[in-house]
Amino acid sequence: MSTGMISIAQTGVNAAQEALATISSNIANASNPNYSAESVDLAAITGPGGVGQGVEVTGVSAAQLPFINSQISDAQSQESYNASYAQLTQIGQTFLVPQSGQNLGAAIQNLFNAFTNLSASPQDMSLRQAVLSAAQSLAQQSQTINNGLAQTESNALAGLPSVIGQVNDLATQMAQINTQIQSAQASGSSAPVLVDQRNAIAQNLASLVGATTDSNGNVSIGGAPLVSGSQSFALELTVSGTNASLQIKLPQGALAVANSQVGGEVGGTIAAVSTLSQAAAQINGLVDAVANAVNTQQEAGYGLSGSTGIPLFVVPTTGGPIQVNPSLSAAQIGAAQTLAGVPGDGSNAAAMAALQNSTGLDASFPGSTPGQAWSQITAAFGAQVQNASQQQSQAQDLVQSLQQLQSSVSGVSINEQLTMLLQYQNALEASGRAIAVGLNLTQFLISNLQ
Amino acid sequence: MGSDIFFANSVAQDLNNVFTNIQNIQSQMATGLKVSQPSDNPAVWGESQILALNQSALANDGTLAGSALSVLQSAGTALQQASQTLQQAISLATEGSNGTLSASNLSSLASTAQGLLNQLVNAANFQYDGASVFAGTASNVAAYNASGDYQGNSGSNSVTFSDGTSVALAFNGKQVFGDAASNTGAMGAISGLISALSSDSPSAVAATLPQLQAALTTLGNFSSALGGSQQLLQSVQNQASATNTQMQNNQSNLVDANLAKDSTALSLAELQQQALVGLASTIARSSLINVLA
Repeated sequence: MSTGMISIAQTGVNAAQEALATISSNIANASNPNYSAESVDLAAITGPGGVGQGVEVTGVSAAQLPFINSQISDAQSQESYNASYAQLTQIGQTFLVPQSGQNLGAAIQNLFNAFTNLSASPQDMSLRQAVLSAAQSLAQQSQTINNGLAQTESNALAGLPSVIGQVNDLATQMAQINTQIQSAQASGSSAPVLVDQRNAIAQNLASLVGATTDSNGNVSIGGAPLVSGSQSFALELTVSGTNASLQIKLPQGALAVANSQVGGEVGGTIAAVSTLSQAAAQINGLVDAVANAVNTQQEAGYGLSGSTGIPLFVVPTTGGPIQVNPSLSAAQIGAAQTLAGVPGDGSNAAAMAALQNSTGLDASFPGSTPGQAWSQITAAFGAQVQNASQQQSQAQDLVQSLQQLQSSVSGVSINEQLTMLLQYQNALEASGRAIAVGLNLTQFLISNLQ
Repeated sequence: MGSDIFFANSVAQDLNNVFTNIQNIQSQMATGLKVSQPSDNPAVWGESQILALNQSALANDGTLAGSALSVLQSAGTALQQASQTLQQAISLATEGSNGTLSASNLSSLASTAQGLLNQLVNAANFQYDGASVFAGTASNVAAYNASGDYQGNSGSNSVTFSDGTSVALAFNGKQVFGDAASNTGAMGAISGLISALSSDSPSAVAATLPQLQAALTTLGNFSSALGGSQQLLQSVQNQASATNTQMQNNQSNLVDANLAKDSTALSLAELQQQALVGLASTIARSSLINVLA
């Protein structure tokens, strides 16, 4: 009986030691956000007649929450997407609308004001010079916006290759971990640490590129496979001008990934570049429309020396910012409607000023004056920035809530682990005491039976 | 179960949010604006831009109306001088037509009349900022030569404000003062008077009186019209100022920060920050490890 007691107590010692080792590991990982608290799985050893013969450790497991993990990945993808988008568009906004208040809309209005003033005193050279200055200011504002937005786009796209490199490194690691998990599972282990590592990689991939990972560690971007079991495929980036596109290089050929399917930091960056590019196009469209309308009216008028047909602006046909016609002098501004009206007729200058109330100069904004179009362009851009910031904040809150939910199930609680530490320490001591009692009993029996 | 690290992260995140909120409130208080960029409030931004552009146009209109008013007031002064000259010419004509004056007296009156013509030409050649106001659009030449012949053209120029209101600032002098060469208006009447006085013909002098009276009426009518234009400009100026003030108020309501409200919000946010810092400091102390130690 005493030898049975000793062997049974020995199983208790073994189980308590393994449990204490697991608790130590949990405490050591208490600050590791990608760690799920582990616990030993205990089972009673059944003897003859169904009587307990001790305890055995059948394995070490951790609570895995695949659905919550998937939700966290989605939310992290959203957060990163909107964070990148908001950050880049906020930079773009500083070029589009400088904090000084001297923005493009004001520059357009100043030009119209200058024409209004010139119409009253068309022979006044200082007023003619003021028109040229206002035109120059408008061209410079347009140039500054174009350069600023283009530089922001360029910088954003230049950062993408390193992110794609990180994605490919993580995909390689994911494939390797998949192999290790398959191997561990084949030998009966649930490999909780490896699963935690896989979850962490999955969340990083979601955050970087919006990749989704299934419960077997297969990763895809917009349906295109990035990791399939133990095999990973290269994600490739192609940049042409301000257009970025992604493809995954599969053995049977490259598979394009639609930009709309790309999330995370990469997706947000690509979308932001597109938004900045569209804003630049809208601004150029508005400025070109104003410049062309002014040119048409200017060319119909007569300068002080009788000159006519000379445009005020050079409007590039291939896009890009306008310039003030370098060959136009102040005297050549066509303020007069007729040659006979030179120099005191300012009716053509008045006609140029009246363009401020013309609707539909910019065909993209029918029914809107240039000032209203400017207001609409900037307000719409601001709405996109604001929306991204709000979406980012919401996704951040969601990530936080989901992580708290996850931690309530699988996180390491120091208090809980300390309690269990004491519990298993007591169990270990009790099992040790049972062994000692068993040994004493054995000794007693040996001594008394002699 | 409950993970300590996520609790700590949550408190850190909340602290970040409160800090960002404090920064935003401080920025609003520093700039005095609650909407300083489109993303602050896109709808309000769009509205404020329209208001700002309209304000710019109205402020320009107000300044321009003030300048235009100066032009017309000065032109009005010139017209008053011209009217006085014509009244003197009428007195001269009345005196010269009564048949009691000798030839030498009439000749003397003719000299006086020549002086009046010179005064009229001076008044009609009124310039503002170097531009002849009564030379039509030929603003770079004197409207009349010394003989009272019109040198300008038949054009006119107006200033048009942003709301489409238009007021003439340069005039066809021939319609106001006539022309000696074609014997019309005030110039023609005084030239005719000089000729009549020089020809020692009281009847001829008497014949100039109706033309002089008509010219005076024309000047009077034009002065009235000019007065109307001045009133219109004054109205544009007043309206621009009033509307601009109203728009500034509207824009202020839209984009200006409410400092009292911001101060309250700032106090609340700082209180939140203190509470969160206090909470964060308890994270380490609350562990069971401290109890069991």
